[in-house]
Amino acid sequence: MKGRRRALAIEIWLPVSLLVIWWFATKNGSFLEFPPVRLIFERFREEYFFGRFSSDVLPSLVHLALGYGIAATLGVAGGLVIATVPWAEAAASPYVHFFRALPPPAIVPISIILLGLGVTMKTSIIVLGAVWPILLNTIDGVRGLDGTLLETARACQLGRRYRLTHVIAPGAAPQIMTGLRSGLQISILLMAVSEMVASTNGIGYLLLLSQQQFLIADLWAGMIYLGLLGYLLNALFNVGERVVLKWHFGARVGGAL
Amino acid sequence: MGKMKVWVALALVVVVALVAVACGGTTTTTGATATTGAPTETTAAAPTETTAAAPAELTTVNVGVIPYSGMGVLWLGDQKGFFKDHGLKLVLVPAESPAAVLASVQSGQEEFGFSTTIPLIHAVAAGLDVVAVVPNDGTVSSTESSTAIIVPANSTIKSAADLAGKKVAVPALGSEIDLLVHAAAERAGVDPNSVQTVQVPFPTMWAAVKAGQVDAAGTTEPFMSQAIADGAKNISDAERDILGGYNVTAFVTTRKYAIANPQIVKAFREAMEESITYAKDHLDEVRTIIAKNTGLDPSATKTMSLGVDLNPKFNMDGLKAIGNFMVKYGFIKELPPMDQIVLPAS
Amino acid sequence: MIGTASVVAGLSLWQLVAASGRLDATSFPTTSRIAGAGVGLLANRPFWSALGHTAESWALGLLIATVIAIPAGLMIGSNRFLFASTRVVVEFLKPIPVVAILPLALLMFGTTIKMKLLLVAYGALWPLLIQTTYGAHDVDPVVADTARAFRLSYPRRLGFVVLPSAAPFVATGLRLAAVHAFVITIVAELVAGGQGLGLMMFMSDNALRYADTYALAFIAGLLGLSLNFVLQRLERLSLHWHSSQRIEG
Repeated sequence: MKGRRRALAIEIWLPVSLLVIWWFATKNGSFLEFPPVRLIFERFREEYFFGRFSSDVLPSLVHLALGYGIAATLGVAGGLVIATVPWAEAAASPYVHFFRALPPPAIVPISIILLGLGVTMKTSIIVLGAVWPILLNTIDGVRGLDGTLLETARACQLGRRYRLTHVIAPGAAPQIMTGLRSGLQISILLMAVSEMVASTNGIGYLLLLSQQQFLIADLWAGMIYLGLLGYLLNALFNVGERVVLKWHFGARVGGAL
Repeated sequence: MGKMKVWVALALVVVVALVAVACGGTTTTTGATATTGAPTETTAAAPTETTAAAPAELTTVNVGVIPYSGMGVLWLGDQKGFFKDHGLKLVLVPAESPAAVLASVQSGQEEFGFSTTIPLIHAVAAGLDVVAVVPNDGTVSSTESSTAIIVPANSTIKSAADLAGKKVAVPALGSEIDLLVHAAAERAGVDPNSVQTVQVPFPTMWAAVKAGQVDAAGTTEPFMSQAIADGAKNISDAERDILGGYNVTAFVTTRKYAIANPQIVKAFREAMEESITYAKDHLDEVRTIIAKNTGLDPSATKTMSLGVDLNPKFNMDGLKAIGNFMVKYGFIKELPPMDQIVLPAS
Repeated sequence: MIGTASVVAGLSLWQLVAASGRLDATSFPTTSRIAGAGVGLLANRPFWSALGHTAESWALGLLIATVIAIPAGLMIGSNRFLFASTRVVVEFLKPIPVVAILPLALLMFGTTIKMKLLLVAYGALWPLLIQTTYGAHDVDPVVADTARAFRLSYPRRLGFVVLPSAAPFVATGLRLAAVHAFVITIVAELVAGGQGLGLMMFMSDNALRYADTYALAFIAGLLGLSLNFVLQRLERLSLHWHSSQRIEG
């Protein structure tokens, strides 16, 4: 019991202390860019829990879920295909690395014209940014598989699809997870970015509005919201990762990674 | 062997970039770098220029600007030496939105900055210390239009009265054009809240309208002329009709700076007023310098509307009217006192 | 070979689609026009001057991030207490995207290089910190004990024991941070301000020269790509002696 309390104390002393320092440092409101923490929490509660939950927070999350889901599917499936078909990687590689390096705002104008202002455009922007790390990590994961393992599987006359789902995918799973985690980060970022242009709602829209109208406490509230969202989603992801890897670890055909 | 060559070539790219750091990074921040490659024309800002017949000591001031066609008067005044005559050396710092300039001025990075009046009022209402000092070029022309609401040629929208429930593109939320769209709708008898304004950057607006992503767009020069040449229809010269005679642009400073440096602020104001007065009779020179400093085609700048009456004094009633509009459409909760918006001329 | 062929195929496809008139001509210039605009840009001084500014912000921001992230990462990774203490803070701050910090940075510093540095350093910090921390985790206990037995000071231990062990992760982290920093620099310039390629893109938009904007975006993408490529080669070259699993991101 004491051990658990101690572990908890170690984890929270720093965040709590920082929070306290921040609270007192800004209490007087003497820094324009750093409004009093209490005000920020007030605005946070007003904007994100009551006022705008259904009109802004929820739609954003929907875009995020859709975009990430599609990116994950495309990334993993595409990565598995590319890694197993010899010339595919060489052909796709320049595009993957190029689009990865493009600044997102450069893609926005084209997206607006081609895809409009709604769910399609926002989801597409998320997909176009988040798919690359997932793709690359999947390819890397497959590449990194033990050669003997693959040979053995082939020698055992295991069918192609069976090999893919029961040998290759589980083997590459840890690396794929890394890519999926990275993709999640990027999805959150692009969710915000895609809502900063041509939007009428969403977290990105709120951030932009706060900035253009100099509502600084609202701005901070938005930043905190994004931090919380990322924290929660990452925690969820960790749980999911453990479940998936545990299951696959059990199903893998021998060999240590 | 081929892979080696690629590697070397790319390493060269990085080396070149690093060399560019050495060369490029030392230039002072002069705004208005023409994309055509012509050297910048703002004499007072060029670091290597030796000012020949200038007064003994010039005070250097950083001025935030947005390098677009609305900066013509400042550029011309600077080139003509009006600021030098008042003892000021201008360093123009480029930014991309009035909000960014206001932030720079507020944080003390710049002494003066260009802003449109509506973001300025937002800023003052939010507690920033910025205040307008002198108009940028004057008041909105009551005859020429440089800002309009456009629709595709085959649109069912024939006038502002048809905007109910439609989606209109505006460059920024809570901006002047956002306000104009609401006001134009209201004037035409439409409930302004039924018009949905969406933020779309100026360059993308007309394409978005054509593609049907928005029903209409509130746009300004030079995008306006370009769209109309491409077949757009102008359904409302909202700015001219609603804000004609009002100031929509100005140069700002902070009240803190103004109290500490009244002479410099006075010098800036007088130099700008001189520039506006000069520009009034030399519009062709204004157009020339706009073309040179923005990279716009000279043929475009010759025909586009400047949309201003060059008037060196603020229209205070006009500013108050704009503020009242902002309160009416929910942009701000209440209008700050006028002397916090415009520095009283001492 | 295949890669080049596929790129050529892609560019040709764009050319065909853009020229066919199905897309708006002004907003979707053909590849040939974009290429022409690109050549025109490269041939003139303002481009190189802008590139210099971008490179300057990028390099300085990356430097700041490195100076903070690598020592911090080494310390946090090798010390259980530090790791547990900082975990919550890092996990909370890590996912805050740079775009969210951008308005604040603007407010604090205006459209100056300081604003850009804040954003670039913030963006580059996290990948580097996380990778370094991860790498510093698995130090060979025998080596660590030996160092302690020889009474090496803490900084020395960090530098001579932990750092070499974490080296591949640090290298990967540097590469990720460098490319990320480059994208952030351009985004900051495009959206917020300050001299550089991003500003040039903004201005070419205002001058109705959309082919220029596309060309600049393309060049920016290429630069990021080359950066990644060069750093990858350097990484592999300098760490060929270190056999460990690396994390790509």
